Amino acid sequence: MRSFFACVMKDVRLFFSRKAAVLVLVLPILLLAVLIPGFGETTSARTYVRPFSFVICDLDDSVMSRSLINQLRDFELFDQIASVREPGDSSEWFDRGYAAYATIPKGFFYAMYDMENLPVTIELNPGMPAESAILETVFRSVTDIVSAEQQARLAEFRLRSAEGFETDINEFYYESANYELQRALSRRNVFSDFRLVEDYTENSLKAAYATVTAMLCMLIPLCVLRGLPEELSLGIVDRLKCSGKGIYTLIISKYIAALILFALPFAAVSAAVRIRMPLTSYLSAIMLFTLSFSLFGAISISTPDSSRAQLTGNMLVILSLLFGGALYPYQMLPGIAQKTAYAFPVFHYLRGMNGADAGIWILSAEAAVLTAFFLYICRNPLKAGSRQKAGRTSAGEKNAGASLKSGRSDILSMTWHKTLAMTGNRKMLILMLAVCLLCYSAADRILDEKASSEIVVAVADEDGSEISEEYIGALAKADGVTVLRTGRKDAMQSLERGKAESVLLIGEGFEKAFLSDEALPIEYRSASAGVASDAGREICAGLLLSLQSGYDAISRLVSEGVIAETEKELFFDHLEEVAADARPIVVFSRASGGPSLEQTVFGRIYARYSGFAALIIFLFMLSLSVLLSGLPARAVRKAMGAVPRGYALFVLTDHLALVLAGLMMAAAAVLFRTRLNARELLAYFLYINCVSGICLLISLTRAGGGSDMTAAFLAMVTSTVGGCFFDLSALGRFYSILSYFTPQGLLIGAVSGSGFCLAVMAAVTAVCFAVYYASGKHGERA
Amino acid sequence: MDIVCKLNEIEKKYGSEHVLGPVSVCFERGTVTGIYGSNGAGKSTLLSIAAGIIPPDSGSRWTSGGRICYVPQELALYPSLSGRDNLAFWAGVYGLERKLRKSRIESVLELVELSDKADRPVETLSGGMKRRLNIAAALLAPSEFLLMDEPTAGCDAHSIDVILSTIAHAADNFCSVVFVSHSSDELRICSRMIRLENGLIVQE
Repeated sequence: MRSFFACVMKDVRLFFSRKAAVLVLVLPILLLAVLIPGFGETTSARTYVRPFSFVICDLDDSVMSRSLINQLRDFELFDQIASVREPGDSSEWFDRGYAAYATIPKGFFYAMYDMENLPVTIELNPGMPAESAILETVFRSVTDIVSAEQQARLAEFRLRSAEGFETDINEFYYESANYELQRALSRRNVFSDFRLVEDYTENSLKAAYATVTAMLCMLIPLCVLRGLPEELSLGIVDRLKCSGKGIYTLIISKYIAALILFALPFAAVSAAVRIRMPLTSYLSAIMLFTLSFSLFGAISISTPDSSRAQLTGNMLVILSLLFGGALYPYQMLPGIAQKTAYAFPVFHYLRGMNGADAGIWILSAEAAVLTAFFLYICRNPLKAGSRQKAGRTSAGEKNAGASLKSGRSDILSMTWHKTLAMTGNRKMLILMLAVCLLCYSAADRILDEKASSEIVVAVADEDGSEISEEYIGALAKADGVTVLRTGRKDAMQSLERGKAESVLLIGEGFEKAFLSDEALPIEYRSASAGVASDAGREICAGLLLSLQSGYDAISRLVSEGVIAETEKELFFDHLEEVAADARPIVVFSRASGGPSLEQTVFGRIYARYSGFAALIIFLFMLSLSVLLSGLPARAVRKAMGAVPRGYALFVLTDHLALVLAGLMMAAAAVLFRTRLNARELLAYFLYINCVSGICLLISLTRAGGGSDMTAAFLAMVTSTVGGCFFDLSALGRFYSILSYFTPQGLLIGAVSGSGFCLAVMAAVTAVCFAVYYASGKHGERA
Repeated sequence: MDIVCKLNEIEKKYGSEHVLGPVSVCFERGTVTGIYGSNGAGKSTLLSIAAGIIPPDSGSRWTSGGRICYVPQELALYPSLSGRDNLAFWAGVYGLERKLRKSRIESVLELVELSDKADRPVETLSGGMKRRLNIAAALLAPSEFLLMDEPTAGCDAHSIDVILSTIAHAADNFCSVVFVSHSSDELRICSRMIRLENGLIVQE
């Protein structure tokens, strides 16, 4: 027992002997802190917008305009609505974090009474694209409702006049204007039931907790098992055997050591979130931990060196997080990935975290099988040097030295071989690129710009009436909406699987209720509380109210005997004429300099494919850079010191080898985004150089030898802070500025057109390279 | 007398620790110089200064300007790459012409008797084989000054024989070879021996 305890202590000490290990224990807390602000909800929705403020310059200054401003203040999405009566400089407000500057022109409501619209102008803050987009959607919805009501009323008035029915024009205008506003403000109550469908990603805290703990479950065993290949080659097992123990003592002691080390950050993270998790969630954590230990143990025991075992482990971790539904929710995964998600333990872990019994049982079964397999292969571990392979015998040439010429060093050849050495060998390089391709292909589907530019509404029409058909037709024609017609059950299923962002359930009796002005049997369901949900609701409600304006006008005309039930077309003819002459009620403009947005909130600004590519490149480049701190690299540096300009060549090829690996990964990413322009390509190139520079710097520190251990956590932290997963402008200016302190944030900024970000990346590269060159030169004792 | 390297009154300190000097020594073409002495005597430092890897704190170093190759005590090889890939890397470092590279690699592999093991990852080779490969890398390009820091450390008798014959072969090709060793048996091939103690030459 004493020797077993000594083994456990040895593993704990080995873990802490690497300075990077401390980071492995601290980074999860940091990751949790950066994930919580928006990770869960933002990944389940396209983005998440907190209540925001905007300014109204009320030049009309009428009772109606003041009333409208007060009503807008009740709107839950708006934080503060500043009201001013003198025109001012919008940019000053934008600098203070206001999303828009709206100007209600003098005589606006008077003109509206006359149906001669003086448009409200709204200038949107280019620095707050998400807020601007939702504000635009809300205002468009409101003004579309007003406009539809206005046009229906005017068509009605003209029809009355044409049919010889006299109407007091002043009374008509007054009644119209009041009703228009009432209708616009009632649009939030259109649906009899508005509900968010529960799923585990809905709770941001829970989602962040699940992601961080899943990483802990996988990475702690991986880090503890990291030194196993070297221990085996040192003959530790043989010595244990001599003392009556064996490899199982070594493995079990490592498991216990890993469990102790896992318990520390897991307890800290659990205490930090302060949420009560079901017992199955803790059992799931233990199962995932055990399973990961067995999996990575099997890899370590079959791999000749620790850096390759760690690189393979990092590949599996990123694949598990992505395809298991921890990085992006299961609902957002493409169809084939949803099917393969079941093969990833992380998927079952997340289900277990949510209290699902099936998750824990499948996880336990997988853990049992893998553990049995691991223990089986432990009987015959691979030792470095024990794998004998028939080598190729080459006759060679005798003494070519006499005619040998040598000239300038071949940088390309050196770079290529160093890149190979970093990955391990050609097979590992190909495997790493294959993993990149797999991840990119999934991310390409998840973050599809085309798909993300529209909201998919699954519509189940149980009424099957003329009006419900007309409504669905109008919805299908609306900008930014794709209608998926289906039954109630299938509609809910498509929402759960992420095929639709919202569901519209039109119940029986819809037409009857619609025509009799009763509460409509129509329900709206959304996957999450994000912009997609709110904007989808605005669009659906707005179209319904617009449709109702026309039918209300017809109803009035028929009831007063102006037209017969069969003469509806007369009204529609007039409505068409009015619509053709209608003037806009609101005009939007954007100050220059910001990212361009499409008309709807589902613009490409939220498609962070470049962010995901940045995460992958950062993760693997950092993993590969561990070679720079190794003994072979130091020996090579020493030997190259005797070659003319040898040290400079050594430093340059260190950088170029990392850049080459990064470029290969970037090339794989670009395969899925072939329409990149020159600036975007330059951004990727500078990003890779910048990350390489950072890796060179890290290799100089005492944590450099374990950079691959911390790569996954560091990549996640910097990617989250850098805005790879969500639009940071939604979280405020502080987060936007903070993102520029990460290479990922700089890449996203550069891809969005920022020359400043390009310059910063170039400068960081130059500084890091210079420091690396200067600090290593003659710095090592012979 | 054809001198390839001359060290004059060189001294070296690491922090406050005086590790070498003052030392003056010349190395001639076609000779094999053996350096020996107890641990911490300054042998590796002397070799590193002669190779130009680290500068002396005082004194001067002169070389004839020809190629210098240095074989560190550590293995300057990437363990995961094959022997051939490692040699290709070093061929790149020395700037060998591409068309000659392959034949030269085969030639040095044959010299160190590793032709049949060259496609195996270095990590799977024995200690002696790794040492031989480490030296082979230095022999890829013709050099006039070859410095080796304990080239036979941890080698079996066969590997030591191969390494010593390689050293003799290099000297036959008008190269000045300097190597550090703790074994008097190995030093028998030397035309000159230098004993260092406490950073000073005590016997030559």
